[in-house]
Amino acid sequence: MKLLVSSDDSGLVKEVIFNRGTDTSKKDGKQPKSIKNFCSEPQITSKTYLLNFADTYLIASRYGGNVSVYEYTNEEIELEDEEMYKLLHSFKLDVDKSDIPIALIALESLESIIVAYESGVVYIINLSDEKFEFKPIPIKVSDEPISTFVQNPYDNGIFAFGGKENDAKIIRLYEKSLNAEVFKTKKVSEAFIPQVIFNAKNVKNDHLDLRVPIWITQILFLQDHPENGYKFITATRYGQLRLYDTTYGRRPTKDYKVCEKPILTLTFGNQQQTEVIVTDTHNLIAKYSLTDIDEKAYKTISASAGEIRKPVPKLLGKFSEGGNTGATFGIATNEELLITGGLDRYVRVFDIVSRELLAKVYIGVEISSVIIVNAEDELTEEELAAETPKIQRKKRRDLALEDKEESDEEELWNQLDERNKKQRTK
Amino acid sequence: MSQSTSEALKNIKNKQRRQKVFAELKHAKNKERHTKRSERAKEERADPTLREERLATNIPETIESKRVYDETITAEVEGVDEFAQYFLSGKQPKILLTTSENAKKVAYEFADILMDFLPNVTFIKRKKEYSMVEIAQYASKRDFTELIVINEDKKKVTGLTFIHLPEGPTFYFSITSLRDTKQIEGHGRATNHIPELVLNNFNTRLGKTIGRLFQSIFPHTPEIQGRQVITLHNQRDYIFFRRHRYVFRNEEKVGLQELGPQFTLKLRRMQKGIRGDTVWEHRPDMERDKRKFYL
Amino acid sequence: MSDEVIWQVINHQFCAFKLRTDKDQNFCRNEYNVSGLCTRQSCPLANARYATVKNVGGKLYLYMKTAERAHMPSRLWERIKLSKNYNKALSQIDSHLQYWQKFLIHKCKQRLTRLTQVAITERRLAMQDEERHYVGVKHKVKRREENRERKALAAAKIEKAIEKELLDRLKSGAYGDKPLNVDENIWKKVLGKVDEVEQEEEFDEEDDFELESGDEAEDESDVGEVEYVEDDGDDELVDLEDLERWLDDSSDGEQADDDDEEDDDESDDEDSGKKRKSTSTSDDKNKKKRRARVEIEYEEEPDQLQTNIAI
Repeated sequence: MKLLVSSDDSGLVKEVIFNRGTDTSKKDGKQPKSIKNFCSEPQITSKTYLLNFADTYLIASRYGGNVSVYEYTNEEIELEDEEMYKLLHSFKLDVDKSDIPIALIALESLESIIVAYESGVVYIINLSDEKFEFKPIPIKVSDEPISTFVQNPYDNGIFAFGGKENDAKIIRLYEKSLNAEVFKTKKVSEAFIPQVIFNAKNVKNDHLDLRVPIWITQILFLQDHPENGYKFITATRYGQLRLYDTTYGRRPTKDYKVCEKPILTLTFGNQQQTEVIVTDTHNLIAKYSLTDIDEKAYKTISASAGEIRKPVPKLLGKFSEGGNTGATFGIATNEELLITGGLDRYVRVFDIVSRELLAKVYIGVEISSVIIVNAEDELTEEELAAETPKIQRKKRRDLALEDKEESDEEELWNQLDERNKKQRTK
Repeated sequence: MSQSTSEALKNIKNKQRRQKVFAELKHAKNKERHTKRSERAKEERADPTLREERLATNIPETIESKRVYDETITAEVEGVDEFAQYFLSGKQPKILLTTSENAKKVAYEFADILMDFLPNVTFIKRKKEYSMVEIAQYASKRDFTELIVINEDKKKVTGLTFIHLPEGPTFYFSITSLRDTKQIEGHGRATNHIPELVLNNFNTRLGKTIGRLFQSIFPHTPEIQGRQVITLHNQRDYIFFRRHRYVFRNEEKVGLQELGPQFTLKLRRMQKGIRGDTVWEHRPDMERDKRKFYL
Repeated sequence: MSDEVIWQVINHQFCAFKLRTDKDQNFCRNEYNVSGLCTRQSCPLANARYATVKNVGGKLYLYMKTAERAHMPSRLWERIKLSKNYNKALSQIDSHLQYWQKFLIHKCKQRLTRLTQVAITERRLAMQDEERHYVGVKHKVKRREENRERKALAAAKIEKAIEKELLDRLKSGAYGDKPLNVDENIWKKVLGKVDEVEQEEEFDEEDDFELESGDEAEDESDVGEVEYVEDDGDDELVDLEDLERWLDDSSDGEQADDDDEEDDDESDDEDSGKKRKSTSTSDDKNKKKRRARVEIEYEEEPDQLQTNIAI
């Protein structure tokens, strides 16, 4: 399988090709087929996010307002290393040097991307122009710093964000019906005015009557949502998971404490969206069930309030095979695989259901994001050779079948003819 | 041989007689071994090649030789070097030393010991109002390069936190077997010369980072007329700190006299940034495999 | 009436909630007890009309029970949420327990006071950010780590490693040309050795090439000197004895001023004598080494040896 991994240390992008069963930690283990460096920047940057835009461009957003667009290399065409992932254009956004990009979203219907920064500013960049002469449009969505900015994949134009002491908000950035034509008109900036649709409210004070602090790190939208509302999950830096239903009210419907350390990423663990995979800053990668809740699992004893019990979602399993020791920033999933990469410089591939470690590759750099290019294993030469005789045999068999069919048909016609004749003779 | 001994012994039910028989067997075995060794020694004295052959084939297995393969040892070191400043611009280390909150006398005594050989070090008394992160920010504004915090618990020094400034990684080591100069027999007296640095066995990627950390703490240009050397020797994830004065007795022998303190460090935690996300944390689970080392 | 009966039984016979300490104190573990002591007025079982203040989930409630509901255990206790404001809560207690015994009113207010104080303390402690947390270290783990450290120390052979490293540094020339941490004589020896190693390497590269160039250079310097040829049988001595000889030589004084052209590094006049000596000794050893492998004889060798011993 082929992955693109971005490095936190040096701003590089590495293309890693390997098969299932690769384990660089074993001396005689299968080694990855290749690890190649691409997209290097002249100065060292960090906090790189990667995005595969419509299989045509590879976009990397970096610290300090740099957004680079690279050509997404198609697999079938064999290219030289210098030709792959060529830098097509580099946008320089007008942000503070210390501002960190926190999100990179593709808007397929508008043929654009959105880059969000921690200061609360979001840029829209249209990519339909081949020469990339587009001037990025800045939009201020929040006055306070934000830590996450996500798109509702089921409803165009709806976005959600949250940050430190900045509770989750859902906004409508543009009308549903908007399409890429708007960028050619003069009134572009009017089309993108953020409107706050939903403003979440904090949970009630805890047993000591103290306000519960908020610092949202991830938001995920759920597919089955009521008619005029949305359902989403937020993860906080205090290890909490909260479920919201906008039709229910501003307060979260459910609030669970899932782990002790800050949660870094949140993804769905299955198609039905009843399981979530959570990673934190310590070394945890775990799968929790949203439906199976143990009501009294979490117990604290307070001197004043006595024993307090809280519900906790059931821990379905940890992805601990392979020995993850660092914070996990980069996560990519498909129907059957979970791929993680983090500060411990390894890329790990797990089977999402059985949590078995399928491959472990040492990449020398700290990883900040992972993209799956191709999840299928490349067949080795032997396997390819084994395939070809099979195909030939199959062809021969087909021909034989065809012949047989033809003869059957002829017989059928003959029989029919005879019957006809008989009838006529009658 | 063991088969026959156990069979010989199995049928003797009387313990005293059995013990006697065993003693005789053991004696016989030892004698045989000794005669073999003396014969071998004689042969090898006559022909030293035999000895070399024997040594070449008969390599004893050690835990180090059976160590679990680690691909980060041979892999090229990539990524940004947090300590690059020192090696490129030649910036001198400036260390801020402090203790944990409400530290007892032991911590201050250890601080005295550390100030003896750390270069350019200032000690400040820890106040409860400021957290480690705040102190680190204050220090980096004042151009310090390293913040070292001594962790004291129950009247014993148990840990050492190194925070590399500005925004460098944080390392927490636990300290064991601390012995003061006075407790070392035959100790010498240290002088003010800048010592040399010897770092042994820092192999893996993590180990190399730690090695760089120590290199950046101590000054780069040692005064070799002082003939002092500070050694940080990593063996099986334990880092032994020693300070010696050396003298070259001839071109094959070096005399060492131990000065100064000796203690053992073990890396417990490495965090990116000033107490940020964890890069590596030690769990007792990791000790289960006796042949796997991380440094 | 039945209160008395209950009390007789509790006091004289058995009460599951009663705790007796060795100082003749009786405590009551019943969760509804106002004062915590086992006394006639404080016992919630032995009083049909009773009131307490309890903290449930962070909120303070006033619990009351009356004789009227004594037959309905599930609805026995009536609770009223007290205000978060301390003074208001006190007045609430006053109003709800208006015509009750002074004892109960007093005790309830005391309990309210204490519970609020405890909550305040807990809040203050929770606001404090603890930088260090206690972590449990299991005995097994602690013991294992101690033992492993001891074994690691034994396996480390630190002193040997340091010595080796220092010697490597010396020989590789990391200390520069004139190192201040080495005795002059030893430094010369080391340099000589280093040259000898270089020489040997040259020799190894060129297959059957007899190295006469080096010797020729020394040829001129030897002209005219008195030479006593010694028997070479002693050259098959063991290394140890050689070492002693080196040591003896090192204690000798400075040599004559002869140019040494083999020594590429330095050619200072002051040091030339010493260097000559060092090269000569090194050549001697060189020769010994060669004897183990290749049989090539130099005619000048004994001369140099001779000059050594002569002085």
